[in-house]
Amino acid sequence: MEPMEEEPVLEKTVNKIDQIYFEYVSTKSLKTRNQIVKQNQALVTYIINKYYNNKKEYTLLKEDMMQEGIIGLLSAIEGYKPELGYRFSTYATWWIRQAINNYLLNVEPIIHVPSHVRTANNKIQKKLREENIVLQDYINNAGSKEKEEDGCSDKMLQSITMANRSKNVCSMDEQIKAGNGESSNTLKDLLVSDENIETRYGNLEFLSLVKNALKSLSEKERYILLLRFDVIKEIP
Amino acid sequence: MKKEYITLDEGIDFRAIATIMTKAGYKMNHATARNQLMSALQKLLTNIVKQTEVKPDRDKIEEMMNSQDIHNALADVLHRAYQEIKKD
Repeated sequence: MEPMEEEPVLEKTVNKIDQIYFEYVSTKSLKTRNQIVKQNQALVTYIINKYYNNKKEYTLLKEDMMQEGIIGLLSAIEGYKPELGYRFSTYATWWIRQAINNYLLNVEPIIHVPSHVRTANNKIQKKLREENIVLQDYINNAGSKEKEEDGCSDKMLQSITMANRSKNVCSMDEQIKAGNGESSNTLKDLLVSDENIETRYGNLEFLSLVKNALKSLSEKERYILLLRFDVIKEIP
Repeated sequence: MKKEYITLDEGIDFRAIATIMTKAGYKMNHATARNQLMSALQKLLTNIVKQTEVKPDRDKIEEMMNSQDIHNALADVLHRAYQEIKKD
């Protein structure tokens, strides 16, 4: 008697998991969707760790990135077609990365740069690196035909220049980073000012009042007043 | 009635003011100089108050004339005001 061929354990699990996606497509049940999210949460963590662990600033945004990744995952669940035969993780990876990238691009700069300008900027920067020239030289020397080929009109180049300038802008409300961590002081707190704007405005107003009142006095009265207050030492 | 006069840490005394004014052609003694100063200060403060569209109150003006804070504030501003008048 021939031994019965058993289905491998891994294949069994895979089939069981795949069933969920078919189930969700047919039922659109919230419970199933939550189950899929739970099963694939590790994928979001993996992507964050793999692609976004290099930069120090990202460690502060890790929880937010996780949330954005989950939003990407939800979009992937909605768009996934299990009948095409691709694995869900392959499909979801792109959605998750796109969601996180979009979030980082929106959250990073202080001055918002529209996504079409960012895309054009990335394209032009790549070209500039390849040709080893700076943006200003490209703007001055490239012909209109070349610019058209690169998809950069003069207006777009202007936007790109502005976008590059905005990289070095910092917020006055930004917290100062101390040696051990963040301090509660902001850059604004470092600015030294003897008087606030209200006081300054008040002083200017008072000065104008005194000036007008002084003009209305007779010459004799004015000189006596100025002598007494040590403004003048002798009559001019 | 208690009389109060303008007191300044810096500035010229009334006798010196009278001497300078007499030299410039405005003949006066130290008492006249003091009276003229009080009158000038009253006019100045009244004009300032008038410009703020508040009806000048005699008692308030007298209170201001005797206030050391007002004198200090005026001492700071008068110099700048005089410079601006000279420029005009």
